[in-house]
Amino acid sequence: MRSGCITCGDQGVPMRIVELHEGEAVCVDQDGASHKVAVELLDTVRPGERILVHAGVAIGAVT
Amino acid sequence: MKYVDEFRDAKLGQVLAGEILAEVDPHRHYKVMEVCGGHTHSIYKYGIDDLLPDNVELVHGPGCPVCVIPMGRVDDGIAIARQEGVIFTSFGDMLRVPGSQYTLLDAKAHGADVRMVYSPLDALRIARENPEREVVFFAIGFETTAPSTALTLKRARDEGISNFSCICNHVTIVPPLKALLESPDLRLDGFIGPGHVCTVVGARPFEFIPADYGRPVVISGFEPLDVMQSVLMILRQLSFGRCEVENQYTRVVPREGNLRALEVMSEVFELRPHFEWRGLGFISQSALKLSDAYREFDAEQRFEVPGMRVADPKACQCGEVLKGVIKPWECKVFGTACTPEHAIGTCMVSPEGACAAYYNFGRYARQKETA
Repeated sequence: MRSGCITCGDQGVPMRIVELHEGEAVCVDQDGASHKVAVELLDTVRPGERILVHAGVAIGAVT
Repeated sequence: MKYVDEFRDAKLGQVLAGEILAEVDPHRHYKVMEVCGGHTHSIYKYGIDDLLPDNVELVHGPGCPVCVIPMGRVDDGIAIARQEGVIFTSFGDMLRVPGSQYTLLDAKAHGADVRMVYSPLDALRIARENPEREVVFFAIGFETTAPSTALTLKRARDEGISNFSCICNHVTIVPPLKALLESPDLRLDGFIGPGHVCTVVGARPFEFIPADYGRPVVISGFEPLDVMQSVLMILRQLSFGRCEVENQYTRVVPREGNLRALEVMSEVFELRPHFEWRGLGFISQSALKLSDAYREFDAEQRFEVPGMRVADPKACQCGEVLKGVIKPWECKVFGTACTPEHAIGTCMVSPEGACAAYYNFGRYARQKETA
């Protein structure tokens, strides 16, 4: 995980979706670490897509 | 990783530095404020300021939420954390912010059950696992973080989790920027806009800056080349006499923001009439509280809190640092009485605080050498 502060945008981490479950995705970050991420705030998500994750929640798509 | 490595390419950085040098008027001094603490962190971590011409000055803004939290709010959190049966949760940096007497970590050392979480969803999980305990989340952050708190509260309500509550300290970025633009202390030429806040709110909330104050804004990513390109885009606007909100961070920031996140936030939160910012004083409609529909999850309703205003320590000049009026190393206690290990001011607590960024990445030592 990057250095920085969780309470600010610096900790918005780009991740790639590996698996999707209801409202939740298994994602990998740039170091290959796996994370569970809530994806309800995005319209549509598919495995393979890149998303921006902040505090365990996807807040945007990376296009 | 794609979208990361290419934005840290040193050769491209040198090319951008050359383009910036070619763009500046040598007879003019430029002051550009990076609004977000994430940018401050990148600037000192990657030495971006060393690649800029001497007459391009980066001024640190108020965009570090830990840095702007007033001491009285920390005291309110500690008062809740010390109550019998409470599990108190927050992000790691928040636990180290000094209140009038203690930090939340000190309260933990004295027996309070204070736990660090990575996400408010982790706090909700703790509530699920401990139904006999009251679990409180100290929510803090700008519009980047507010959606995760909103989503957590929505899940708590949907699942009927009654032992979870939140002390809400979420703040909004536009009102303090307006306050800074009205301040006679500071003359700025442009703004590096907060990329991840804009992922949520979009570009529109910043359009008043060029429209009403005649200053360009470039919404920026957080990798070193993002920040350098944003500086170049601001300089080009100034050179060509343009003044608008531009988006450097197009790979993440849609112009209209994240409408679904905004919808959830508007369901869960409403604006506070006013909120105290450390160093900036009370600013109208600059923070969020829980809406009436979520009132049952408001820890300030569920627990007694002192609610007292506490003056900052006299020696601390965080206020001036947060307004960009002085540089961190110009503060009287910087690096002596106030260090990351024993912070007096909030700007030395968070890695994104301007003082900690200066201190941690060797800028302090360099300043001393050249003094």
